[in-house]
Amino acid sequence: MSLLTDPIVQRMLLVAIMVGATAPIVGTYLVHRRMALLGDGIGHVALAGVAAGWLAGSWAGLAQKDALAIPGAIVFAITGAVVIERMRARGIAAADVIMAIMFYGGIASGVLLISMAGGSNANLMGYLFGSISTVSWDDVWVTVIMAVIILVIGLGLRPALFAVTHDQEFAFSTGLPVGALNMVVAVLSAVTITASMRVVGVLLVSGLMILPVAISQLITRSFSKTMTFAMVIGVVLCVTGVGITLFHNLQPGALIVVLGVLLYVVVASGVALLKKHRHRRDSAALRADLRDQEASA
Amino acid sequence: MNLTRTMAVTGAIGTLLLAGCSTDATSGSDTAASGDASSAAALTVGTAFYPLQFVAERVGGDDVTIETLISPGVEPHDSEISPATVRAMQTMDTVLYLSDFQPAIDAAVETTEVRTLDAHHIVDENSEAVAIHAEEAHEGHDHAEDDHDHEDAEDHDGHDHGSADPHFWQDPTLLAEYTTDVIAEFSELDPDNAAAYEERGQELITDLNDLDTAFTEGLATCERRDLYVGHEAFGYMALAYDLAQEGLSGIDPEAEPSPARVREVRDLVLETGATTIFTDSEVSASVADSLAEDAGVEVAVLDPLESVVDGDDYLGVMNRNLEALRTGLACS
Repeated sequence: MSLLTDPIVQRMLLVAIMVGATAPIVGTYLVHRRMALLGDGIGHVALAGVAAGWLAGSWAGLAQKDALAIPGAIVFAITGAVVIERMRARGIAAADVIMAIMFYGGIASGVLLISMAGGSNANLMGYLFGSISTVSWDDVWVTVIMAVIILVIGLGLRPALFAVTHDQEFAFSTGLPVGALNMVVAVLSAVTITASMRVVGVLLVSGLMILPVAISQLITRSFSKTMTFAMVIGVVLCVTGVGITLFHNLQPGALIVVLGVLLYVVVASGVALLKKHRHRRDSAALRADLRDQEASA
Repeated sequence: MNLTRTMAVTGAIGTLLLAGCSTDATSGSDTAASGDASSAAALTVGTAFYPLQFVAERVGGDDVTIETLISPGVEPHDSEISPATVRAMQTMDTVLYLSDFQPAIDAAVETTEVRTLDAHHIVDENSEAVAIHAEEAHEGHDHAEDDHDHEDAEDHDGHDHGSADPHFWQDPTLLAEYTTDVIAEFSELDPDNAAAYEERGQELITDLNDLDTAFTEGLATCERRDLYVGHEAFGYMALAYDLAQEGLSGIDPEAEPSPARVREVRDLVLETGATTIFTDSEVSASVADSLAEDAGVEVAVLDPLESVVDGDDYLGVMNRNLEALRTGLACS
């Protein structure tokens, strides 16, 4: 079967393009709020959700004990994100401390609930962590819905969301519903992470939310340019990663993240060299100016 | 936004073409990715983990090309299958695996809709007996904390769907049962070589039955029948040869043993006069080590055989396990 007509390959590429383009949109907001680690953490909170769903299912005596596992993960992830947002907005503690509390709490209660529910870590992980290698058509549809939601909300509300992310007080003074918009970002992040970690794995989705944005920030100035360029980088990274792993037996999620890190290092060194060069040129010019002044004086 | 979308798509296509061009030349040398290794052999078969691979190799001989789907030594739930392997799976004649054991393989099987030979029916048929045997063994250890044991047993009962012991290959006769399935599967797919599969398969079944006899005889008269292990991967072995397995942590090797359980096992070790705590090679032995030091007993390796190192095989490792057991339990 030729590569591009193989439905499995088509599914991988479709998901790669959609996740690659949309994860950085959510990521741009997170990076600007200094909540870059939210992606990894929500994964742990969702783990507790799966375990709680499993436990609830067996208490309720459902025939299918795992029927509540996925709803549990989504409810926990959204609740976690909303709680972080509320606490952050009220200034109870710094965002990173609140996130740390939620995440360690998530892992710990996940471990406890799993053993109470009588499942093993291994079969619960199966609910949570997908891989881009094994996406089904259902996964593709989940990703399409998620991508549409992100594109509509993330891009449609961009001016308002940007104002809130950038300078809350100013946004408040212009009459924007700051609290509601903050909540939109929190829920959007939680839904993106839970939906796509089941499809492509938590490593890939949390890496893709942040790395393209970090790279893009090095070379762009404005918020909207950063976001747009990050989307392009995200798609290129994903498609390259899948392309390589179609021929070489490597784990796609890990490879895509490593490619992103390498690109970051290359771009960051390039930018640093350029700055140094510019600085040297500027200071040389300055010295020349001074000499001229001294000479004329 | 139209411009961005166009840029993104153009970039994607460009990269794809690049990736395609740059790697096309090497694709032939990458065995896992290419299904064309089957030119000499009649069947191409994927195997999900070691004991199944062993059976496939023995039954298939030169008539079957074996592809391992996940590299050995990788923790089952950390493993991600590569797109190359998933593509290759589409052209495989059949895949030997155990469902509900490696989530990544389950997902790949579902995606590719490849023909499979699932070993799960063996687990289904026997895991209840293993659980009952384990319960009796717990009760056999008449102990001050009897109530606690009961609670544990009930817990296991209520959720045996989620925690059925998957390690059926620890009983050679059950692996022989799977061998029968494999002979039937290969013969159906490749009737021309059916006689060869049958012959090699029967040879393997004989070997496995001999191994079973060696275990039965080797463990017939022992001073002790209590098997203290790091993680409870030996339920089938305990059932087959009438041993009482007591593990520090359960079937799940990742679970952290509770201090209460560590103390309980230490007390049992002292009470029963055991001289050895068994630990498997893959999982960190630190808890078993410190426990053994506390109780003044030895640590020996009992391999759960989820993977093997080069040059070893199932029969070799099982014989080593038998030796370790005979020494540890003082069998004559």
